[in-house]
Amino acid sequence: MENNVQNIELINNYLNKTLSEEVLKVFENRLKTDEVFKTQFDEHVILIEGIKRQTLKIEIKKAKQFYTKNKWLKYFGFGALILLIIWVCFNLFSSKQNGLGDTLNFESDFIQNYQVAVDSIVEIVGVKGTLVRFNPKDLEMLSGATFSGDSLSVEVIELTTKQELLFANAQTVSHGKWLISGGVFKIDIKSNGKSLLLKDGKTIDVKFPKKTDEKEMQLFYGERNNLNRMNWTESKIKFLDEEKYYTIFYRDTSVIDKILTKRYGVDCFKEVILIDSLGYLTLNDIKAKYPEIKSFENQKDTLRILKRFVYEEIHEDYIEDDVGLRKTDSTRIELVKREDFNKVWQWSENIDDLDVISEKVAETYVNYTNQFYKSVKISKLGWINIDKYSKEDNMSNVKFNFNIKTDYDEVFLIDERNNTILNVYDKEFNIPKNRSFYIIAIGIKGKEMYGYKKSVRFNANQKFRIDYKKITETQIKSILTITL
Amino acid sequence: MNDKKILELFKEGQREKAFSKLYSLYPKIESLILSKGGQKQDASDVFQEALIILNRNLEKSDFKLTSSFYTYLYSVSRFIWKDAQKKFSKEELKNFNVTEVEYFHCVLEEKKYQRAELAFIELGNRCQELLRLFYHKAMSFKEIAKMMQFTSEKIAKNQKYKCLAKAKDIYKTSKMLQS
Repeated sequence: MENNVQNIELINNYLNKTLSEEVLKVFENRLKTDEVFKTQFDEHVILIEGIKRQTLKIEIKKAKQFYTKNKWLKYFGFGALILLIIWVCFNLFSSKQNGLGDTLNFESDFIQNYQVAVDSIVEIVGVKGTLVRFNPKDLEMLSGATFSGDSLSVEVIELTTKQELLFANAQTVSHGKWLISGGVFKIDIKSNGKSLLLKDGKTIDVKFPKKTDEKEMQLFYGERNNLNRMNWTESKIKFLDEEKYYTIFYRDTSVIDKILTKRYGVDCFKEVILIDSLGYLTLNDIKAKYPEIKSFENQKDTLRILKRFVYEEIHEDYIEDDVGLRKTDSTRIELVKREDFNKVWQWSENIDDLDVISEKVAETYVNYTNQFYKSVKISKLGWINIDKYSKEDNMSNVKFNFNIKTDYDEVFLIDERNNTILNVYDKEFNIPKNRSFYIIAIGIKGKEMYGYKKSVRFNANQKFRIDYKKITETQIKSILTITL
Repeated sequence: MNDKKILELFKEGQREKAFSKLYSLYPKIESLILSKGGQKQDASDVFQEALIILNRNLEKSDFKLTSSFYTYLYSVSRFIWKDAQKKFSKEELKNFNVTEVEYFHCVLEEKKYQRAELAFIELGNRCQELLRLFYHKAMSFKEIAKMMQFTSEKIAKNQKYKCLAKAKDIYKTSKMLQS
């Protein structure tokens, strides 16, 4: 055994090339002459090579893993490169197209800015009468954090004509369906230049001016896409006529002899107080907001004129004392206190006074309900539209082409009858037969701009050619101006 | 990477890196094995054997790579697979040219080492570790004794001899059974 161990050691030294020249010669000679030693040498080498295979396999396995990982990384890298190229191309296209959208958007011309304090309920009335009422405590930053500062900036946009809608590039389309707009509004509330959101479950009260006789309008929320094109999404808020209600508190003395009463130190009231001109407050809200109502109610010479809805709510409180119900029309009821009624009744000359007052109140009421939609609570700031879906079934299909092949086009279709404005995305559209529309197109080719405007009416499927003419950027607004 | 650079990696002892470069040829070898009725796992095993044979030959001082790595690995893989399938006819064997004889010889030679590897695998883990440290990590018995907690160098040396003797016995038995 000892001999074997020595031989193995000798072989190992030979394989490791650590034998001296002299020993090496002897070793090599022995390999040639000693068959047993040669066999032992061969077996040993085979065994070492066998052991080596294990090491090689581990290395090959690692190499395979490295290769596979690199291969996928290359595929991934290549894929990512392709995606990057697509993204860059898309953005290049979008930014140019978006640039055209920006050029055609004069929205900023309509922005009204209001600075308000945050320490109480805020009420803002826009130029066209849009009334916005909110509690600053209901607002928060986009991150959900509380905003800081003692003032807020409120941005209001009121677009009530189709010309304004067109200038602001606010097309009236909800997911491909045409809308007839009763007005487009934007309410943006900012703190230190950053837009705020309404907290979960919180709303703001808004009363929108009514600029159309269209019935059954609904409220839509709007978003612009990256090409600046507007799309509207229907909300649950509907403006149905029968849901409208309105509350007017009116007080007037029924003391007839004003000179005599004045002599006794009694003031004569003769004024209309519009307590809830928005019409969105419940009776409890009204009492909470106007505590003076309590004393006002106790005055015997008080005349209240209420809308039916509110009347029904307070009916039980007042019915016993009420005597004269003068139903002047389907939407208004006057309640007159017994004592007042009796006094009025006794001095007939004052009945006229009451009628005059009632008429005045009624007129005010009717004016209000005709000029504004019922006040609503909205849960989202930003773009808001009062619309209804346009019901058109007799349509012509119009395929259009251009005399000049431009890089980007923006084509508008404006209904001359309704507040309906569309951005046309494809080279064809369906349009109601025998109705007048404006087609306005603006295109860009390189640095050149082209414009087109025409009033059209289609009564059958047909092709239509848009004959562009070269324009300058300063002419865009005049191209977008429609003669109504 | 071209063949010259891969050859340089082998010469510089960067074997693992060289193998990973050669793996770019694997899809072609896989197609070959699949076309001959093999499975993906067969292709993986065949390519591994071809790489081991290539490495063994590159370590021989008298070996000269006369073709590209692809041609060499493709041919060797074809021989490995055919031999594994026992599909060489006597006629084919007779008609081998010089290069084919060389490939065939390499495949047969490798079988000896495969048996030795199996003998090594049949040893216990401690023996395997001891032999690996000595033959491949080229560690001294002093280091091995310390690492494997033998009480002395001499015991480590004796233990290594015993392990080696056991592996040889297993190898001889398997060789005998095979013949």
